Amino acid sequence: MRILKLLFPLLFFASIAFAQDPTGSLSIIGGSSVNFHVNSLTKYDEGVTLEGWSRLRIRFDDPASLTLGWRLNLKAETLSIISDSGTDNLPLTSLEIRAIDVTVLDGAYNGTAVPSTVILDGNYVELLSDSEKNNIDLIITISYDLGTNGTNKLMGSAPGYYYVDLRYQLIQIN
Amino acid sequence: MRKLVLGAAMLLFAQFGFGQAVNESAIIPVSVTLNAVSRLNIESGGNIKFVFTSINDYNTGFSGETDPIYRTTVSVASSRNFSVNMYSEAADFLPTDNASNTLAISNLEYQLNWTGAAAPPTTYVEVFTPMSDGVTAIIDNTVDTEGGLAGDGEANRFDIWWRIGVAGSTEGTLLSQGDIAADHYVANIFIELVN
Repeated sequence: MRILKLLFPLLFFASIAFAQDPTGSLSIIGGSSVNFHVNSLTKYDEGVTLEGWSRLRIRFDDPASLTLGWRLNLKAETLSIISDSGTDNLPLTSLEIRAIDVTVLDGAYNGTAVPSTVILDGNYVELLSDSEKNNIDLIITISYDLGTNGTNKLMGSAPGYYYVDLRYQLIQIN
Repeated sequence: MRKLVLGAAMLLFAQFGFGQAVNESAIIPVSVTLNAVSRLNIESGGNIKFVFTSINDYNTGFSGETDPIYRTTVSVASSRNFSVNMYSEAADFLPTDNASNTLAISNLEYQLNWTGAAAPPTTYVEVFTPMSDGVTAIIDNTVDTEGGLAGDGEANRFDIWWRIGVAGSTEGTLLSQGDIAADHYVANIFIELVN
């Protein structure tokens, strides 16, 4: 009976504590597929930009202040942009991802300044982060650049179809 | 009583299952379609005409090395490294007045003069070479890193200097060959861009 008396309050407080766990969600609300078409010499030379192509919605809430905020990471699922034609793959570094805008639907955003550009290397890299953590609801607009930097132009690449999956990850900062 | 304790304990530990850190992910597929761009453009000198009207012409011939009217300007816009092949349609010039007249195509010689903004290819025809009906790589990238490089028409431009009947050429002057009948001789020269 003593044990029961001990267990039930524990259970009660634990429930209260866990009810205040941070919560978060990440969803793609636009531009869920990115397609580059390189069909002229100018595009081979200057690259292709898809401005404001993807829109991600982030919700994060940490009412008990158990975390230091949230972070949006990004990684490529493969170590290069894979050729579907048996020719050489394109390097990941030919693709750049830019967060160009953060629209605040609820809460606040005082995190990484935009535009924030990342170049992928096969590991998770941080795109945005913020220490704001109460009832956050944001829409993040993403742009994609392919072959626009001087060192990784597409000129000379074999024609064909290439693909890579990008994984966005929302995590809490501990 | 034990069951009650066990149940309460299970309920307690079950709560730990809900205490997970935020870790959400979403995947966006990215595709790249590269369409090949491959263009060879004759910018000028698409019709070269050598007219022999004097003994001096027969004795000295004509050369694009010194006279721009005997030059063909070619530009290449290519998204990949490239080779350029050239060959004559026939083994000899074709006479237009008398079918029995002949003029060997090897009387026609050519040399490339690179004028593009890009560095010249490693392998290209830099000295006068007799024309033939066999395919000749005038720019060759069959060996990796050699040949023409991907780029636009400004980067990849060259002149073909044509010459005929010049002293020092393989066949020599037309006068030195002695028995060439007067006629209007023509030859189609094919230039191919190869990726």
